[in-house]
Amino acid sequence: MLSVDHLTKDFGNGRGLHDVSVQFPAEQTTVIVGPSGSGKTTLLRHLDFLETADAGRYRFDDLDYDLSQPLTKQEVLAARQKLGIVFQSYNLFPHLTVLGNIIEGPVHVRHMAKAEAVTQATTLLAQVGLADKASAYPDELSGGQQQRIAIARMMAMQPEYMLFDEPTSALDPELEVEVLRVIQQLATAHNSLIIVTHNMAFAESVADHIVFVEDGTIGYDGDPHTFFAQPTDRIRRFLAAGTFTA
Amino acid sequence: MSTWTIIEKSLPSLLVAMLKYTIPLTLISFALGLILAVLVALIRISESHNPLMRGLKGLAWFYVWIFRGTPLLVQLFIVFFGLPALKVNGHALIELNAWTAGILTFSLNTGAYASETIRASIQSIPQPQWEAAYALGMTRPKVLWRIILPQAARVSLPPLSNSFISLVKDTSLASGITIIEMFQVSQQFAALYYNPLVSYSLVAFLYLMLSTLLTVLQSYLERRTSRYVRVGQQF
Ligand SMILES: Nc1ncnc2c1ncn2[C@@H]1O[C@H](COP(=O)(O)OP(=O)(O)O)[C@@H](O)[C@H]1O
Ligand SMILES: [Mg+2]
Repeated sequence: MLSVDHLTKDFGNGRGLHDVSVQFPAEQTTVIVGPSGSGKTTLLRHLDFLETADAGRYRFDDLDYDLSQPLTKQEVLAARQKLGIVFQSYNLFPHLTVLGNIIEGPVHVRHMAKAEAVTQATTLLAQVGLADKASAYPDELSGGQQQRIAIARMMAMQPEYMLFDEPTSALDPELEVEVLRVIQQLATAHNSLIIVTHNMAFAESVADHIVFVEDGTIGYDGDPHTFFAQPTDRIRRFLAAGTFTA
Repeated sequence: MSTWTIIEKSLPSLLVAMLKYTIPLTLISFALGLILAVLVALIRISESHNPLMRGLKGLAWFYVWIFRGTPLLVQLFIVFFGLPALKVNGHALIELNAWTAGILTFSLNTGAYASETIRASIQSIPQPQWEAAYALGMTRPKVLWRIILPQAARVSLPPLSNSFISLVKDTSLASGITIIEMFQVSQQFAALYYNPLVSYSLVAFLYLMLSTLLTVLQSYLERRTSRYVRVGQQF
């Protein structure tokens, strides 16, 4: 189980996170939704220590950190090794081939034998439907393909939790589908997922658990059915804002 | 004496001087300068707050400031003629032969410029590249070595090639500290044959050939290191 308690972050402009407490159950899909600028990315980045909190408590299995104290490199690495993250803008390593991107972490962080890493990468490439792209450079791929490679790169580290920050918001609709399908397979296979998305249809279809973030606070934390079927006024307005009506 | 005779008589000695002095001075100084430059660049971008690192940062800043801010010829003169004047009990503290003084000064000078090139290249690699690498569980040195420096190398290749080509030509300044490199030899021929135009044009031509060779090498390296970049695209 991964959780944060009383997580607080002030960017110095009044924006950030205010006393956020959330639990992310293992083997479930938690979907984080909320208006633009509400703090979804910030929350996700704190889980992977890409952002430094002002205060709060971070618990992940046997790890238990007081975030008001500076953490050691080892403490940060211990948490990061159990997490993988997929970014909105893919962030593949442009100087490495697709295969190079996927084996980079296993070989140079986990010290896996190269042959084993390549075998694993081949399996993962097939799983994301890009078996023929191993020797391509990221720059030669479409956005949807790059994002699927980014997912394979993350999976190659065999993380306990997989984090996704709006993985399809930079993609055209027809490319979005191929990425969502890969994520859906991961959800169906009972991986522990945390997904930030603007795609409400997708959220409704994969979520075991919904977190609604609003102005740096948690506006809803619970089951998806209630969220979508009996929304509060605030949630109703948020859901309506994302729907085009002529 | 005809132009061709002058060329015929001086070319062998000029080529020997090129092979014995100009090229080795350039290659050794550039290699040492580049190693120094990477170290200085890494020190200058360090985010560490420990006192030793802060001291090193100050030192690196000072070094770059001095060597970029003063003429190379003056630096050569200070190192070769100036330093031996430092005396304790009548004994020179530092005694450098011309060759050592030349390599030392050229390396330090190249290192100062190249360190700024490399620092800027490292800083031009977008922050998300760091984050993607950190997210894989890499430590900072590993991120630098595996992800950032290879990309920065591509960015810094054209400006570093410029420094390299400048250095080839700047080795002619070593004539000022008694090194018998190519330009020094051409000066001797100019005096011998009373035809400075031919002698100096010939040596200019030889420098031009060296620079051209390096430019070709640069294009080759640029193509090799840009394999992953689509033509016409900058990232
Ligand atoms: N590094 C930062 N410095 C200052 N403000 C930031 C920084 N990162 C995010 N913010 C602000 O914090 C708020 C939440 O941002 P973010 O988490 O990216 O929102 P979301 O992902 O929900 O759209 C925004 O107002 C954003 O401008
Ligand atoms: Mg966001």
